[in-house]
Amino acid sequence: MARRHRDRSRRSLPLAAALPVVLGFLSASPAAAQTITLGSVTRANPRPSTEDPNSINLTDCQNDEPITFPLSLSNFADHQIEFWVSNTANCADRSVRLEQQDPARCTEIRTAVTPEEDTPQYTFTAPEILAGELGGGACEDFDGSASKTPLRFHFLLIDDPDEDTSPSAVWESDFDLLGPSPPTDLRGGGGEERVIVEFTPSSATGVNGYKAFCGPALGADEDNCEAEGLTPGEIPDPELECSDIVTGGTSNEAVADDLANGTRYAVGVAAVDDLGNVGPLSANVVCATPQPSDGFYELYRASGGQGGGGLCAFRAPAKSAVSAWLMLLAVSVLVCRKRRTRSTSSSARPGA
Amino acid sequence: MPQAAHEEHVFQREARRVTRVRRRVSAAAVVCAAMLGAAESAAQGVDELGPYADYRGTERETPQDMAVELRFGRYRPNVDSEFGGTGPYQTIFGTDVRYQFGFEVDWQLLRIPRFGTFGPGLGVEVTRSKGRALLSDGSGERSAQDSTLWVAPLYVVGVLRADVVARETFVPLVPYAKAGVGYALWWSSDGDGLAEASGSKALGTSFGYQFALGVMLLLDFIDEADAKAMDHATGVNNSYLFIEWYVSDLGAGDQMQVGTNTWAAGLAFEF
Repeated sequence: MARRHRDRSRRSLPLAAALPVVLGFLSASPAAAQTITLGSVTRANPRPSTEDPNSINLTDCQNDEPITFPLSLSNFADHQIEFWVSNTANCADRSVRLEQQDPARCTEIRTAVTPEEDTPQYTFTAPEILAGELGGGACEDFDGSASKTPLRFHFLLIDDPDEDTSPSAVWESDFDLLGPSPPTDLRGGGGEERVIVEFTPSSATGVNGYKAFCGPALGADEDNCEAEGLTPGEIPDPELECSDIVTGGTSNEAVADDLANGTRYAVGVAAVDDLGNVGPLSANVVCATPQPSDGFYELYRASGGQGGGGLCAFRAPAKSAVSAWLMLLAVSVLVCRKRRTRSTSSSARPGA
Repeated sequence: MPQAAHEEHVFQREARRVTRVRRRVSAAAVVCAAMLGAAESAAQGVDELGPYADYRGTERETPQDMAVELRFGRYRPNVDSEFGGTGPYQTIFGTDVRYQFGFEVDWQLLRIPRFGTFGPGLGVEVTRSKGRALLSDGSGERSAQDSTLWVAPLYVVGVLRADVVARETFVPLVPYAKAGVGYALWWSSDGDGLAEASGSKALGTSFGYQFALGVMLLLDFIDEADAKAMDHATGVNNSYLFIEWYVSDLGAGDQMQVGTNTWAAGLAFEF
């Protein structure tokens, strides 16, 4: 009996010693649960939905487009927020941040701040976000990839700078600051208040369409086709844009419209990528003079034809057509009567 | 009279009456096939004793009451016929051959014994003519600007197919005739949306009649076993190549004349 009591006491001692440790662990855990989440990102000047509006293009960069990031924090006392940008690397991992080598390079783009509320908002300009890519250069001097590149903007909630991983929120985006290569082999001619240009499509990837750029041709020399500000191989001045975008990378025709009949124009074409970046102007430009022209319908009306005027210009059908419709109606009635007769006989069948 | 005997009497009387009607209508249908039906579709469908189907060799065919045609053919609208000589159509679009594509769905409502089928058909086609506009200076030179005319005829026709030859002889041909009315929607663009002239939009409709005569080549003879298998697997009873000559007189008076006199060919399936 006494031996059994001693055995029970020996088993109880380690449990009693472990209890404070377990209780201490349980009470400490909730205090460590810091969180950081990213809300809906907004821009001062949203781009059209056709231009991948979540990404950053050359215009955003050149115009210092402000982009605002709302955050939600919990248990953030004595913490700091750090701002890191990478292409694909996970900057929440301290070893990755320290490595500082491509492609795992993380760039801290702004000094860490101490949050003063649980829903702070931070605004960054597009060049600020791309600081690591631009390397201190201007947006138009970017000489990196001409295709869309991934971008990861990390918001880290840092307690101890030496901790291996930190709670983070990430904005996944893309950037592209270079337009696609231009179309080639331009040829064109004049139409009514327009110049129609045909070309061989650009061989670049990610081409979303083409735009025509034009200006009155300098001089009347047929062999000399140029216009002020229209320089082949350079990014064209948006002021010289004279067509809507022709969507489709494989399109082969653009129309410069709203031109004056009788004026000779020089027209070049540039390709536009998925993000709305306009590439350099085509190596050759074409000159043509818009002139009044008559299409089929104008000739038809000029010849005395009376058709057209819209669907509301309904006129009674010709007698022959009326007769035909009536005949069709008569046949339909006969068929329906016939079917009704058959249906009656079928339903009269015993057990039907 | 007991109730059962009375019902039997009523049924037999109705059946005799229907049989009389069938005979009369069948005879008339052979003479004036388009107007007069006979029995319900018999190679499929229902008669007074209930649904039944035909036999293909020793196997029963699946019910058949529809036909679908996938069509293409030459189409040159008769726009210039109201002007004489070289009209606006030829001036802009030249004399190149233009084509139409379309489809037709026929409901084989009636089967005429030992003759074929008759029923309504609904079809739609579309054709486009494209050319360069002319400079307005009278030089006759072409502008770089396109001018386009689209014509989309829609028609409702009665379709009479005499499949007795293919069914009862070794000749796999089915002659047919169609007659009905057509309604064409047409529009013209000048490379920048709908064209306009003197404030009038280049959009309109034209009405008229149309008829066709054609012949279908039953393809089952190529591989009878496959034809049977396809029937049971997909319900397609017969497949054909066909060619037809047709006339559509769409547009008269102040409507644009967009009808034509031409041929069409294609594939047809009965199911």
